[in-house]
Amino acid sequence: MEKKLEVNNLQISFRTQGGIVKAVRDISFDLYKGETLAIVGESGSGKSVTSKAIIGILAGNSIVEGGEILYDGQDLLKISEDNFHEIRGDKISMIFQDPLSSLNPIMRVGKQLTEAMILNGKARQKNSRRDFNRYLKLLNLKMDEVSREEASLHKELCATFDSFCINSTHLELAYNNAQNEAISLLSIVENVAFLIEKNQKVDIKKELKLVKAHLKKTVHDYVLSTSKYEECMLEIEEFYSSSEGVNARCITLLNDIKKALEEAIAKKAPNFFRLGYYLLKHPDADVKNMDVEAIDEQAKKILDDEFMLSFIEYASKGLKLSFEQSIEKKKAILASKDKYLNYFKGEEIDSSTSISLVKELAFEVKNAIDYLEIHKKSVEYSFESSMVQALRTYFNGIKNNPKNQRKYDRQLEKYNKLIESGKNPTWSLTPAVLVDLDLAKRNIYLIIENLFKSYERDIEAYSSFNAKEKTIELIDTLKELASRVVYRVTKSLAKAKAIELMKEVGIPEPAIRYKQYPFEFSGGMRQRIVIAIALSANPDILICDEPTTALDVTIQSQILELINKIKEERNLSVIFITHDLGVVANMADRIAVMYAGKIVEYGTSDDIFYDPKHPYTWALLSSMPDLETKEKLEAIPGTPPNMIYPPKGDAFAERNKYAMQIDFEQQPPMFKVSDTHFAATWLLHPYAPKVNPPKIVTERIQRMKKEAN
Amino acid sequence: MENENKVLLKVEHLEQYFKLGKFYNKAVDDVSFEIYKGEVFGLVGESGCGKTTTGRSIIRLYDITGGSIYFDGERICAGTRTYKEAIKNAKRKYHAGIKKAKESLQKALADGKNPIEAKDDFEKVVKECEEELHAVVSENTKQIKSAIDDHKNCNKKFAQFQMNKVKEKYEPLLAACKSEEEKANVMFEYKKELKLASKDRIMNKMQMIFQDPIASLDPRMTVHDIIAEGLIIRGITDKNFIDQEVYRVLQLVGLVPEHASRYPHEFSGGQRQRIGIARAIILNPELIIADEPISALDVSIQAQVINLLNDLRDKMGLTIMFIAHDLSVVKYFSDRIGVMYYGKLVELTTSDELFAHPLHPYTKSLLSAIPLPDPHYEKKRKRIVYNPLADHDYSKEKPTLQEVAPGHFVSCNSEELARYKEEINK
Repeated sequence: MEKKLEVNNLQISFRTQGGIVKAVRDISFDLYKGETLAIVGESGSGKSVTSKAIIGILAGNSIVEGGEILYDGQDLLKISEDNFHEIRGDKISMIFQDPLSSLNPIMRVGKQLTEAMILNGKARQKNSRRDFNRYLKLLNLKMDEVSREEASLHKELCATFDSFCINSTHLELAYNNAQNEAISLLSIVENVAFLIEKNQKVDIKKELKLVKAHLKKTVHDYVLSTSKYEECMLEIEEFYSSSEGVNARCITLLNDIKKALEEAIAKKAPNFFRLGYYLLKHPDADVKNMDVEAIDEQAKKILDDEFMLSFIEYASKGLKLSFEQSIEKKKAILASKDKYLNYFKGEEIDSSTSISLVKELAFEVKNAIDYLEIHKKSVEYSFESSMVQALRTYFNGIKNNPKNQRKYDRQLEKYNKLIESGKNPTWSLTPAVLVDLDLAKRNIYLIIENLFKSYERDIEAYSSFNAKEKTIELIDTLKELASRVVYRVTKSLAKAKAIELMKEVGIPEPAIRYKQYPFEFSGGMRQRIVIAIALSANPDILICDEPTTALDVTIQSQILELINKIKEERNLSVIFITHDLGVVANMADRIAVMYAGKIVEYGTSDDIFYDPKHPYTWALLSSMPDLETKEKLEAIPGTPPNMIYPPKGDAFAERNKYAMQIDFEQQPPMFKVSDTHFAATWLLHPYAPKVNPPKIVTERIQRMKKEAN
Repeated sequence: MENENKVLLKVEHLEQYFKLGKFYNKAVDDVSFEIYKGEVFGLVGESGCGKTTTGRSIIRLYDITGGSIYFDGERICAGTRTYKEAIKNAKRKYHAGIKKAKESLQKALADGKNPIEAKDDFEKVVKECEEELHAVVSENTKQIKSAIDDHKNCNKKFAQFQMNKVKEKYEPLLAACKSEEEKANVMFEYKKELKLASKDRIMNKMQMIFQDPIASLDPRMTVHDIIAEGLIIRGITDKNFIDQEVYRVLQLVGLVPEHASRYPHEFSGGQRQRIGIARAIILNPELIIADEPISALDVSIQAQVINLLNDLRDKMGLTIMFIAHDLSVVKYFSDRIGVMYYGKLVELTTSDELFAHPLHPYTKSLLSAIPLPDPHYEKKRKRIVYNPLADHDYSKEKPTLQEVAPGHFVSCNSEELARYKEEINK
């Protein structure tokens, strides 16, 4: 599976009056494409902070102490705000916890929904065109490098590909629009027919007007043919001619339209990619009256014979060359690897030498990148920026640490004096702001080591390189980019889409609601608007920060189903943040349980629910009643620790009745339970006493297993 | 439970309408139920179905539109809409009757019947109509008057009742006094208690816990002020007594007396909700209306609050009306559950019965939406969608709340009643 997002050793703190609050302490996780990762924990455990770091909206007083968040070859913690604009909302979208504060109170809901769509649409068109051109140009260059003599042929090939690829996506878009229109019209017709059958008040004239308007948009060669359309319109006109038995006649009329639409939707569409090429070569071919399959066959033959096979051949040669070049350079860098590793491993590192070394290395790394590779390797792309950042932290620490320590000592002295003289000081001590130098140095070393490791893996993968496969992958990517170039978001389209989205998230009468202000909505409705906004941009990654906490069960269930459905349709990756384990069981593929800024347990949902290992997970499971619970609930005593002074050992030890002496002294490492299941508790240590989870949990698990069988 | 059948709160045909331009928003429409002493009554439904409005109407945060609410046998709330509607209908009927009579008179005259006889007939009909109207109007005006009187003066009446009680207690004591000094002492005590009794309100027996622990506490008052406010309004001036009570209540809800001097923002969510509970129980109420007290809290804290409410219920013999949308919590906590849908009560029964035999389609849909911490079950769970138009056919007969099995009420018409009975007997 493709990794979408990687979080490595993330550490975030907040500067506050009372001192530095360590909100997130060294967490790492991956997010794969099309999966849901749930982060569960109490409020204040750092789950929201993690998500905010991913989307780049951390509060001003935050300090990122270390780690990286890798997305699409970039480290999100280090890219500039301008670059973040292209990612935030468009690629990574977020549903916020509090619907009241995440909507603009003086802007109509409709505008808030379409704003991002329109802006993003324009930007996406531009960016996709740029990427498309860049890939094609690079490919052309590499092809030329393979054989100089055929340069003109290469140029022609690329130009043809460009023109027909874009053309065919135009065709496909028109078909898709008509198809979608037909599907939505079908649901409208069914709904009206149902209402009439149930003797509800329906404004038939108004509905028919709507049907007429929609019907016009569904006309397309491969959806609703013009003759069928005219037939339907004639029927509607006839309906208006007399006023007897309106309801019964209306139902027959609607049924007729329904039948026509169903036929239209079931119609087979040709392969537009092939058709595009066919039309380019034979602009006056009469495709309308030909059989779909016949066209398909013919177009495929022409495309393969005249263009595709030769294009693939040349392109794969170019790709192979590019790959080989990159491997050669990587090998050269690896040859001098010891120089860098030894230097940064050494006791003393010097500012100017290390910077010049890093610059030298970064230049070579940049040269060694294979730009035609679609799956960007984040380590290579973000190497320079993350290195510079890490070095800066380290050298600033060396410079400022003694100063800060002295400041703190002076303060402490003053404080102690006050205490000694019997006075009660009104101010409290602020702990010194110190950079952990060992950690900073280790970070620097790790970044370089990671780079070399990834190079070694690449060189290993050289033997299994399949140029043809890669080429086809590249062509698919180009096709996708082309479809994005063509897809234009107009105002009316955005409105139609917004209304559809509002309906999808369960807002009744979306056309009226579209014009209202947020204060006219109830809490649940507002939350749905927020979800609709997040979905409107078609994101890659969706972060849900307690989206259903303020909603009741039915709506919660609806919204969860909605998120699940959209996830499957668009192959989204979802990060789902919640404190309610019940919600997660349906959603999550994997679950990370967080406590006091650390991940304490990590596994698939089956692991967490059927075989929990950490006492905190037990406590979470036992503190919620289910339908069979009769006995007293086992609440977790006390409150989470104050993260200005994070506990030395296991953070949960104080509230944990299974805590051992070592829990108060030393932090537990991640113990491996199975390949997918990890937990950080000393109870898993081979020398630890055997402890069973609380009765309420074991009983429930047994019952659940019995029911499953 | 020894006093199982003692009705503490009785709600009859409660209607709460809000004006929305020309129309009315029927937030609560004809809801009736009873709460027995010592039980926990859960009210569930989706947001916007009127469960919070019901709770707020009971505690008189709104003036109700129609119906009446009895607390401990005393009518504390009464609306007048039904009576006014009845008068309106009677007037309409009267006018229609007169019109019909006039028409028949003219017809008779045109037919050439004896004019005097015809007129006599006409007057007789008119008189009948008038009498009927008069009867209805006078009956309903009386009802309206008594409703307004009860609504306004229930607190006064209760205070009077309490004062009488004090008087009865002290009169023999005063008579038994011998010396002047002793009499003055008793008189002092007597006056003090009398003053306290005169400020007693029946509404003090009912308290509310609000949904949002952050918004429901005044950020500029210390915890002590917040909790003691009720006592001060109640008319108690003894500072020591107030302090004592505040500390007692704080300990009861699991906080320590040192917390009294702090401000709400210094507490976590769960602790704030405890303060809200402390404020509600300081006047020793009999009924607590808990309006989603846990839905704004973390799961681990939720368990603490539920355990606390359960303890308090055992210690103080509280009756709790528990409004919530988390069904697994309601099932765990409540004895009986009412399900509301768009301002109407659709099903009402004991919690076990409701989960074992849900009858109304809306209840079924609600139960099918409960998430459980069980991935295998969740993958299979199918949500039932409730569509009132598709599930019911109310074109012939309107639904009413009817008893399908002992103690199990469902909103249905006679045809559905037969079906439900069959279903439950299976």
